Amino acid sequence: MDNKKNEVFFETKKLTKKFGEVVAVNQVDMVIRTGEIRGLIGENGSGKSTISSMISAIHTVTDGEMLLYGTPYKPKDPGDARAHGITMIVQEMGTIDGLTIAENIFVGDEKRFAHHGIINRDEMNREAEKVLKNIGVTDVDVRKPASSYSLETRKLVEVAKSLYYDPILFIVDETTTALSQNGRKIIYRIIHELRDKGKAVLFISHDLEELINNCDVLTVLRDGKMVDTIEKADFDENRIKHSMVGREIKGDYYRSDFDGTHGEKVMLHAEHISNEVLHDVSITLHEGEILGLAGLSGCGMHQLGRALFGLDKVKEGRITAAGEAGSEVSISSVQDALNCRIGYISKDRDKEALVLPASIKENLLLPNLRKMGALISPRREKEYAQKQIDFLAIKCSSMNQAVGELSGGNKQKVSFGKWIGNNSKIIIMDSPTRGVDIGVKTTMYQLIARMKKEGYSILIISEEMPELIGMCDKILVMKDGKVTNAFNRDETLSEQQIIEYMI
Amino acid sequence: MKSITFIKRNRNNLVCYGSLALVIVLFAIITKGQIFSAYNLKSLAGQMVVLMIISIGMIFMFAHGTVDIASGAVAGLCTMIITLVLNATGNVPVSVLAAIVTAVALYLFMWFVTAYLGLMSIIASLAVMFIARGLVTYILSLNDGRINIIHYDMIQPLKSNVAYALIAMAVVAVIGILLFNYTRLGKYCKAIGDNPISAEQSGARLKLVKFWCYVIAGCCVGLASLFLLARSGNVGKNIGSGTEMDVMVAVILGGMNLNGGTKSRIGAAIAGVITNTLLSNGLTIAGVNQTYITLVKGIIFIVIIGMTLRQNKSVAEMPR
Ligand SMILES: Nc1ncnc2c1ncn2[C@@H]1O[C@H](COP(=O)(O)OP(=O)(O)OP(=O)(O)O)[C@@H](O)[C@H]1O
Ligand SMILES: [Mg+2]
Repeated sequence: MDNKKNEVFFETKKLTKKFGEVVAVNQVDMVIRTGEIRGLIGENGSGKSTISSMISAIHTVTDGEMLLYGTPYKPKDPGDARAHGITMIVQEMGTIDGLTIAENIFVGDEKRFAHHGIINRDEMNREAEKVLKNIGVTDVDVRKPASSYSLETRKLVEVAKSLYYDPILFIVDETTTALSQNGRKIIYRIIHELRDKGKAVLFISHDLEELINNCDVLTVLRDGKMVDTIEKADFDENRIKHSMVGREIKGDYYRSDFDGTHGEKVMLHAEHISNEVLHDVSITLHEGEILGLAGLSGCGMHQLGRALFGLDKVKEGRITAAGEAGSEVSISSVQDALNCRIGYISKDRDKEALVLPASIKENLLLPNLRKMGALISPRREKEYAQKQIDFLAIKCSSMNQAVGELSGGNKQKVSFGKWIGNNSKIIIMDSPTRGVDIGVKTTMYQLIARMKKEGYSILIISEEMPELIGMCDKILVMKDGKVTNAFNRDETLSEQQIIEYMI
Repeated sequence: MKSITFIKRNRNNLVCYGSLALVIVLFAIITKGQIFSAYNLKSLAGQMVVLMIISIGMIFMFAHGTVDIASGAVAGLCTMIITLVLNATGNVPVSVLAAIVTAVALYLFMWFVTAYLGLMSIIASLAVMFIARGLVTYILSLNDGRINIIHYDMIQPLKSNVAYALIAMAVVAVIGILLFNYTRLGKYCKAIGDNPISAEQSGARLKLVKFWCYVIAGCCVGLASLFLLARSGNVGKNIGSGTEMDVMVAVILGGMNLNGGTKSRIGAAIAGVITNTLLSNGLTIAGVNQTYITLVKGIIFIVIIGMTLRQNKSVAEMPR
């Protein structure tokens, strides 16, 4: 049965999910065939994660049914879904911090290494290494806790774990945005291999180029409803955008000018800094400049961002920022950075950027409290939060909703909104648009361009080449903890040129 | 459907005011209104003042994720400080100040141990509890097991005139509410309880915020010890013991989650202490034996913990 292609094997019938009065998924009829990569797209909060979570039994189904090979499919829990051959890489974190990498891979399935009730750790670790090697990951110590690895590595561990169970339906929810170029290559290779073996892949992403290049069919969701199915022959960027948003997206996406000039004043400066990851790095960020950092995983660009914000210590060298009265202030802690009006959008939104149980309002206000005076007026809080919610089109039931209940992209908007308009003059943005849909990305890019004109200094750390090329005055390429090359803003600059210096 | 979400969203509030309302109605019926006689209301205020002041201070500790079990012992030690200073100087404000300084010093010791030596806060507070208890026992043993207050007449009005208790509770409550709900300190405190990493990246200085929380807790314990002393009349070996548990029961009755974080509310202390005191007082008036009162409280405690725990689970329909 496995090797037949183009045969319907999975169906949903009027599949519906409600969270309280919010209808997240509304009567969706979808069919998935063997041997296809099915793209699932839609704006933030349109229900993509919710559908895939119901398929993999992370969420319960409110109404409707699912059929697997024509028979009703009612998985009890993710383990049960896995036993049916359905595995999923979740959008948010899917590994458990306290467990080792090996334990994470076999969590819930430790029995296979048990001999008379005692788990053979060596055997488990060896098997884990093998599982990781299968997808081409070799530089991970499976005995170390998951928390000691980056978001990217943990995601790859999840991928390895899912593949271990030989899925017939492999769901990838927004995973590529957590990965660097090399991690993405691994995912692309894997999903194509699965397709060629007659398995199916449900692939969720906001990156149209990635979807067009990899998918065979696209299913479009809007407000929880399925609105369109587009076959490969009809793939066209504008058509897809239009059916996603329901209207034409007007205006520029990235910055339209190619004027790479900026102010003379040095706002943030790192001189020959080194630590465990960075080796003799020097960078300068000027007033009104958008500086980009590009690189592969392990190149140290995320750590550089952390060091500039005072989160990671530097062993040698010095970081300085322009202080209030034109003085130079040295940055060695988060407090120093905040005093110099530096803001930082962390890539790891669940663990570092957001307080998940707290409300949208509370999260948006947290970095603003310093300038709200001794007694904070609830009315001002509400006004500020509402402004950000409207501007970034954060989809929520109210500003008092817990951030943890929001969809991935909407969480990212909150994380972005925290530092916008909070009187930071220098903003370090680590993957600022991770998981955000095209419509709001446009808003964010236009805002960043406007901030440049107003004299803000912005450092964008990103895995998205087009984003860097489209927005930055200057792009620094990093490799092995060093800055290896710099490109100035130029119409003719291509992704390929930059990538050459990354590898 | 709407009403269900409403209940879910406001479960803490429901626990808080629901149990308060329930207790009020229940005992109004059981005691045939006796519980609300003018006389009894006065005695209620007297009974709750110590617990109220300490609980309000402790909310700042619970909210940022510290469980403190030293409050009873520290309050006990403070009553002794007040007695000794009062006996020596005959000056009430000075002796209260001495008590507050002592309490704050002990709490700052806890703060130092947790913030700089990285010890778990509950262990630090356990240590302080033993230190404070040990000191009380030791000093008492030097004084034949009991210290009498020479100038008891100076603090006796705090017991006989309920206005003092009411004013003290009102002032502490207003300051507590302002600090907790309308200042950076309170807001940082809640954020730290949920996610210290994010709070720090957003500008909260973890050590400094905690420092002020410990100072607030210390001040409250020191002040409360004055009323504790006034009510007991002398310093005995067990003075103040068990207060820390009463605090926990009270704030949980008020709908507080002991893990802290964003759902922490200062109202939990206020409503919780009233509920807790009404409960003991009502059961006593209704003629229930003291031992059963503890039992009843224990059962209620477990029921409420069960409800709040379930809530945490239902929110966790997450990692998507
Ligand atoms: N646990 C929850 N409680 C309440 N509402 C929820 C919960 N989970 C999801 N929702 C709501 O359901 C809707 C759909 O969310 P979902 O995560 O499926 O969106 P998505 O399409 O994956 O978006 P994104 O592109 O941002 O990841 C959103 O409006 C979200 O706020
Ligand atoms: Mg999603």
